[in-house]
Amino acid sequence: MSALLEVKGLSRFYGSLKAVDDITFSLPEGTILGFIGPNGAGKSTTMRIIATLDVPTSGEVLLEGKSLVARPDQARPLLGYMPDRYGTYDDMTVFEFLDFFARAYRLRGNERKARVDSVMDFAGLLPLKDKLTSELSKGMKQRVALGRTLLHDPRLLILDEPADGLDPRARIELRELLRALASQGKAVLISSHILTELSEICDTCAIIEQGHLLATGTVQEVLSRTSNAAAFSEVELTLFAPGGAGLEEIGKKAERLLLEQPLVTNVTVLNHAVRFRLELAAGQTPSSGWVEEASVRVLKVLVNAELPVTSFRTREHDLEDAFMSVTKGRVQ
Amino acid sequence: MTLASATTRQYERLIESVGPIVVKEVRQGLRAKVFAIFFGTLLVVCLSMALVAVAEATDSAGIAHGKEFFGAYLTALGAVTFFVIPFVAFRSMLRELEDETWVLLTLTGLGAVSIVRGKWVSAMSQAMLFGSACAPFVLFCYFLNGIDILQIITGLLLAAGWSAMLTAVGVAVATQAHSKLGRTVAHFVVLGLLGLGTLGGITFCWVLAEEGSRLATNDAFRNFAITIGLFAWGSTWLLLEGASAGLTLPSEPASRRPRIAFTIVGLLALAHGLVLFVIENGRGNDAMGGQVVTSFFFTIAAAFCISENDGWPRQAATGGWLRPGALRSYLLGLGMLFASAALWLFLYARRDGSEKAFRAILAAFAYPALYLSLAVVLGRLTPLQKFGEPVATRVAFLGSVAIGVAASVGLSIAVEGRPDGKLVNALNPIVGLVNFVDRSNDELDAALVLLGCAALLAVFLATLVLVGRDQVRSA
Ligand SMILES: Nc1ncnc2c1ncn2[C@@H]1O[C@H](COP(=O)(O)OP(=O)(O)OP(=O)(O)O)[C@@H](O)[C@H]1O
Ligand SMILES: [Mg+2]
Repeated sequence: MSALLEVKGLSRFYGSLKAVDDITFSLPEGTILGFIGPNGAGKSTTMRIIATLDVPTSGEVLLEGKSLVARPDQARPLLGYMPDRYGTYDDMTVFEFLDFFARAYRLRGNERKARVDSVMDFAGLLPLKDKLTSELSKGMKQRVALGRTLLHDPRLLILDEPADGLDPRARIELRELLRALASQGKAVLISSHILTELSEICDTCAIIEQGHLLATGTVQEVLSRTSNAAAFSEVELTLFAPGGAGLEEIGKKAERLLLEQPLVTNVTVLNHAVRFRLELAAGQTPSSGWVEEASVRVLKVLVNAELPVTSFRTREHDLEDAFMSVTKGRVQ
Repeated sequence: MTLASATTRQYERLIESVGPIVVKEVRQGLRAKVFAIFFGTLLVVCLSMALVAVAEATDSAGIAHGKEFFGAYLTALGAVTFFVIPFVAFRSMLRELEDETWVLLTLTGLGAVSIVRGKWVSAMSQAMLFGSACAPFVLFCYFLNGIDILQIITGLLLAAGWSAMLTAVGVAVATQAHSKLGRTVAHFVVLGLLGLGTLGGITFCWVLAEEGSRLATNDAFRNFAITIGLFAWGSTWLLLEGASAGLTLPSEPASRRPRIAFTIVGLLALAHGLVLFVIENGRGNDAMGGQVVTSFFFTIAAAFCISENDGWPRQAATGGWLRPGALRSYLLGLGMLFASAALWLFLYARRDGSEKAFRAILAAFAYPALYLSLAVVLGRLTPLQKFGEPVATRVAFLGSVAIGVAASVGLSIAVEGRPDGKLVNALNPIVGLVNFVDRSNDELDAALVLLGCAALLAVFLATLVLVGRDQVRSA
């Protein structure tokens, strides 16, 4: 099966700055690809090129097997693009805004009415129909913007940081919407600088930094690869004492024990919780699974000492952690 | 089918056909209340002036008041349609750039041309509303005596053209402002241009009120009015094409339509010049004047309308003369300037004129060639490149003219003790040209040779730069 979108050797240079450097990936129908990287990694630049807004310095982008670089006009009806700013007109109502873009997409008469209604229905905007877009919350504006990209029923959606600034509820709702779209067979390309933010939304993800693709694959693959590559990991455990009696003492004991263990640093005790860090010594290269091995060892010591541990977990890695250790903060 | 539903259908069909941008602008315009406020104010002003006029007419029967009231009405109308409406159009387009909504519009397939046209058409339909509210009052001046119907019609037509042009100025300036700095500068530029345009327009309205009765008898005055009308509409077209080019994405060819517009408007301007020269039985010195005016117009049009933002090289591979590429735009500009010089030299040679007219015609060709080329070369410098490609060249053009004038005058004062030395001002596009037009002296031959050599060198360098640039682009 050939993919809906194929990006081959894509580069975009601004003078001597290589914003995007030789990127290759593909995106089949019905899948959601998360595009992850720190600020200035080249996510927006890549997405703008795929959305036909910019031209690559070299390389090729194929949509349905046809070059969208050579014929941007033919590609535009097939793609919906949502920039990292919302791009709504303040003094228009939700309905007027969508109706205007539907007109711009040359939808006429009843077809347009039906299309705008179905998009508003899908995005849950019907109750807000007559509200001015300037009066909407961020999450609702986001939905209006998403609705706009759906008006012409595109096959590929390009969403630049759509989850940015959304509260957890709005994020979950966004996830549901995107899932529904993917099940309709649309391909979705979505960017973020937080890996965990995308882990539940995406099927696959691609990590980009300084214009290079560092890793591609399923979210789990990439997540474990980056956390293994990290030279430290944050751990939090909780202790139990009935009625809080003797908690202070238990905490002190835990702290003492932990500090005796190799690799453990930065221990802090807060009431029920103890936080510490597993960290390799400088110069040591992280091997696969070192965090897990060290965790097992530490937990065994604590349990053997009969400390009342009720939970023990390594904090989920987000992309920043991974990049801090992998790239030593080479952020452009 | 009932009559009502048929009317609704007709109405909907009308709305569908005017295009989405106009629909949107009207919706936003009605909500913005600017329109209502100015419309109300204009009506109140017109009505009170009419009352004053009636009172004066009954007080002093037999004295003609038409002129003053004609001028006053056109001033009121002009203030709105020369300044307020173009500025509102500017703001509206600028917001489209600020929020990058124009990008989203382009993705719908609407295209830069429709966006620009939509903005302009909706602004102009507002202007039409103002005009039609004001027109009865202007016609009413006829009954106050002292003014004839030809003047009134001419006044209204010229006002329409002038408003069309200034609205296009507003839209076009906004489309050049792709950065924050650019947007700040654009505000000053547009306020300056609209201010000057409004001042000029209103002044001409008063001239028309006072002298307009000569329209029927005085050929020169009539031709002047016609020229202004043609200039306004020609510039409107050029400005709108320049504006669309400014809004075009890097993935689109932007230079095709501006080049066509520039060529057609340029040839029409030359034809108009030729006709005027023949019917007014021009002489050698008139050819000089014609050349100075035409080449000034061509220079501004070449610098600001023919776009250098020429799109994706793969499209550059086809399309002959209209195919993208900064070199072709540049050569077209030079070609039109050359055509102008050739026409006026030909006319000059047929009616033998003075030697200084000959020099001035050549100089009026060499200065634009020199400074347009300098702009191309200097526009490549890194500090200017942050404005983006076509804008950098335009900034370089204005900058190099300013520096050329200032440096030459400074040098002239230092060396000769006076600002208008002939040889030191050879490269000064203002004082130098004035010298060529006004004075006759051997030193000016040397100055012309110097200017010619500088222009040739600059053209050579610019061509070299642009050939290199287009090659890199299509590699
Ligand atoms: N028009 C431009 N001119 C010059 N450099 C640019 C331009 N646009 C982007 N860049 C540079 O290209 C690099 C990549 O930018 P891009 O916007 O693609 O990053 P991003 O991954 O989207 O980052 P963010 O998370 O901040 O949105 C940055 O270093 C940026 O400064
Ligand atoms: Mg970005």
